[in-house]
Amino acid sequence: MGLISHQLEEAGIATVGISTAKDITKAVRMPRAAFLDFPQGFTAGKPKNTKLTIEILKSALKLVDTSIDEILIDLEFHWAENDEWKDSVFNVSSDGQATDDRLTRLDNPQYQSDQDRKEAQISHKDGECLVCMGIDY
Amino acid sequence: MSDQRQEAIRYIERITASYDALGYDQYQWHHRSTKPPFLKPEKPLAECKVGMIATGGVYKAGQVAFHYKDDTSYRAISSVAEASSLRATHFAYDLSGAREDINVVFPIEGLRTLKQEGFVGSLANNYLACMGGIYSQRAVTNDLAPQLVQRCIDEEIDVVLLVPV
Repeated sequence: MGLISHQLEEAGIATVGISTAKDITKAVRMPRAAFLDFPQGFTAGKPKNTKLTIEILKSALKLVDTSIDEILIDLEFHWAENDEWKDSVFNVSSDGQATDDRLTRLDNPQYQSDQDRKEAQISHKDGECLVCMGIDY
Repeated sequence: MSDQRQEAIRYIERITASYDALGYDQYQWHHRSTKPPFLKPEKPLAECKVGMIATGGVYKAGQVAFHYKDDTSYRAISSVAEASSLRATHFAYDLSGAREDINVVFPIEGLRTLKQEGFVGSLANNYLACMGGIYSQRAVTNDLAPQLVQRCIDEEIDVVLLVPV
């Protein structure tokens, strides 16, 4: 996302990121970012917690109105009562064993459901598929 | 205990060690050595047109889903789309939250609220969704990023909210 942010800024478009990976955001040097100390997959908050998401969005977006270049702030929200959830993230055990929770890198479309697959196939058949029209692929 | 907080996870160290233990090819982390470009908008946020780029593998029902092997394509998703019509697919993160409520990786409803409240001026017609975890920096730099930037220029967007996963 850092590479994308830099190209946008060079094109005259301001960017502001939300990040759950502070070290990565620092390494790529996003121009403006707000760090949320939540697990991966929850960049903008918790499910069905609209109020939290709006607070996160406001805290991040208001960085646009500051003149400080290259700014990374810490948001004050916590995922849980304690930080034990961090212990198992990409953990390598003392005997050198790691587990891989990532899914196989398959090279065909991975639909959330069979219904989605059918709907995409229908839009293909009717010639309305944006992918086929070259607009959105 | 709420006062016993750990430091932010050092993902680069942990993923490097984890991949090493698993015998995987290492991800080539991008480390920028120079100050990033920085553009201060000429108008306040409350007058800006805001877009969004998210890397959580979000697509709309009816669109072709992303695949998991360095997919450098993107999907344009209408900013007025129903949250219930959006899906998430990705190989690298826990999808349970996103599939319960897409707003946790694609805050489409929150942005609409910000517009209604006047916190932002207006919203892009389309937000842009792609995959994260792409191994090839060159593909992102030369292929994906320029396309995303061009879409933002075409829509005359002032500010882009970036939502990585």
